[in-house]
Amino acid sequence: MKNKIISLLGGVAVIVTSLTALYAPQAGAHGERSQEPFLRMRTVHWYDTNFSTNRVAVNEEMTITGKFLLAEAWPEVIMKPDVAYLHVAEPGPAVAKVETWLNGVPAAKSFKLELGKTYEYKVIVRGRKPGEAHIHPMLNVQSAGGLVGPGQWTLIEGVYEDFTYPVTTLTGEAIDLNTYGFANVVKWHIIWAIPALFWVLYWVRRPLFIPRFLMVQNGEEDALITSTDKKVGIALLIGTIVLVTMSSNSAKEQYPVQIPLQSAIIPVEALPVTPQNSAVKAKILKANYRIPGRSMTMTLDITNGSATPIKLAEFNSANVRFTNSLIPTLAKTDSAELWAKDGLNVQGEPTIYPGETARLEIEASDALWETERLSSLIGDPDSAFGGVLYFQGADGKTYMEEISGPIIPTFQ
Amino acid sequence: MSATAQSVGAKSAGDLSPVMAGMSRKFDLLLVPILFLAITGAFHIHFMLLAGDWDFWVDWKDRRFWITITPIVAITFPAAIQYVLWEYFRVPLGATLCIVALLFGEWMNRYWGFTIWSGFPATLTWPAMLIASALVLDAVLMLTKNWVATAIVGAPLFALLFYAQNIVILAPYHVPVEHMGQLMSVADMVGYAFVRTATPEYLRMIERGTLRTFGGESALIASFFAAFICMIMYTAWWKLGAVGAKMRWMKSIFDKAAKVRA
Repeated sequence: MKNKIISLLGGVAVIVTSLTALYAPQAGAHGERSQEPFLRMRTVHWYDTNFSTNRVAVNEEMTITGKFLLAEAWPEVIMKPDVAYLHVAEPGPAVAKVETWLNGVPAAKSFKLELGKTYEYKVIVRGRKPGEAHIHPMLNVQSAGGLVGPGQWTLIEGVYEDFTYPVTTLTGEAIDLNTYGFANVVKWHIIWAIPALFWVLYWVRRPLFIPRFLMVQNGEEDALITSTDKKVGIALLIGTIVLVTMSSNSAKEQYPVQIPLQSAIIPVEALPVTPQNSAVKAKILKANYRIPGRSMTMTLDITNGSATPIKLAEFNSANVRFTNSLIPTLAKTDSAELWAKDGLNVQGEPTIYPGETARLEIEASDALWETERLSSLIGDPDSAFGGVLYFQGADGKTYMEEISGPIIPTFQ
Repeated sequence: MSATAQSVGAKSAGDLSPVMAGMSRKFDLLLVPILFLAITGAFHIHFMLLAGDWDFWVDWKDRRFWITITPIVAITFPAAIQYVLWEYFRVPLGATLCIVALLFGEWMNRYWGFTIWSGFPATLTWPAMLIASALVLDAVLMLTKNWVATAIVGAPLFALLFYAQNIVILAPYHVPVEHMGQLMSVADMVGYAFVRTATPEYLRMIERGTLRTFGGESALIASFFAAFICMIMYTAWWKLGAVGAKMRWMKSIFDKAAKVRA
């Protein structure tokens, strides 16, 4: 009876597990919300992100541009960006990278970047695999992982078979990177499979296990390798070495110019310090996160060191924009789904004049705290937050200041 | 078919009866595919875990780590299976069977997993060739009939032939290209173009370390280093095969077979 129940349960488990294969939806995005808040709030502050289009044909190019500020409040628990790489986050190579630039420097290799500095990037990609893909700019940092920027759903239209990636080598050969060399790989795998299958069949065609085992047990193992076997073995040994030698020599003759794989850390200078990214200073006096209200409140002193009156327009953290609806000039540039349009409420005198220090109480509230899993910051080991404040100047320019500090949760 | 002296070897301690010979052959035909698939699964996981990225991606196949790591990891199962097939059955097929099984698993994985499911171009993800190494290892064992000689001669050849047999498919990928004003190999360019989100450029463990001499012939040095380590690995895994083959349930099965025959 016990065995029957175990068998029944086992059978049910196998059937249920097998049925899960019937529901396997396409993975469109790639889990960016699963990263802990400190990885998104206090590392890379992306801004001015722009996708040239949200619809490309196969082989058509799309350009992603923008800037990022590397937080001075970089978490101690992860490595600093001494080795970093400008990249794209996407579900498989739906688009192929064509060019990447960081402050005008080619970004095919890795960089050493500085905290507190701003960098401008440009990524050009080409439509490859038809479908809809969530595409982000991304900065990979050694031992910290991928730190993704704002994403955009991009529709790639056309037929995959039309995709090509033409490149001309320095030896003058025009190649398609998407298929280059693969036919040769298959050819040589098949060539080597022939002697391998011959050798397998040479032995498998004869009685294998039981008779041979009995003979070995009876001390007659020498009879199991015949003189023909030895001749075949010698031929196989010599033939293998000859074929290896000939094939490698022919490849060297066919491709006389070869270089090793290239890898390097490239130096890159940060964008210069300007009044727009240095004139305004903020000092946090208090910060709370109210869990039931999905809102964050901050009390801070803002010192306007610029030459123009400014107003707080936006608080941006982890690519979520909380904007002040009372300042309508602020343009929408980033991904629509992460924009809390009326999410920023400012208490106090809204205009801060040059040289003035004003105390502001601000509230950033929206369901995005929950849906973007930022409310879980109370589970971070150092209970801190980070972000960037954007101020609208009377001169039409935008002034920014990074903020960070400890945060106290409120549970009621 | 009766398992006569002619069909098995030059002479026999005794023929199996026709019934037993038929059953024996059915057992062979049943066991060979099972053994093949079992080796495919076990060896493929082992190889993916230890040689993984070096074998997955064309822009990881460098002159140093790929050449060093791949043969060292790939000689393990062949040595252990060689022990079993040679010591108990005098079949010098262990290495070839393992490597064919591994390549079968790799091609299945690269086609269904990397190309069909994840969309990577096959030119980025092809597996390295190892068959020449395996054939030589089996041939040396058969001709010397001695595992120590195989460890000293066959295992180094297994490693030394690895890079040499792959030059023919790798050479086209090391042709230089200029991109954005920078020098890259075609392999670098393939890796750059077809995005692996979680595999940034710096993650590649290539061309690092101080194992350089003989006028920059890194591949040669790496091959000889791998050859030396393969001697040790072969010995270790041959012995591991010996330990694994001492399982009591196998002995009891063969004892019963011997009794039936008697």
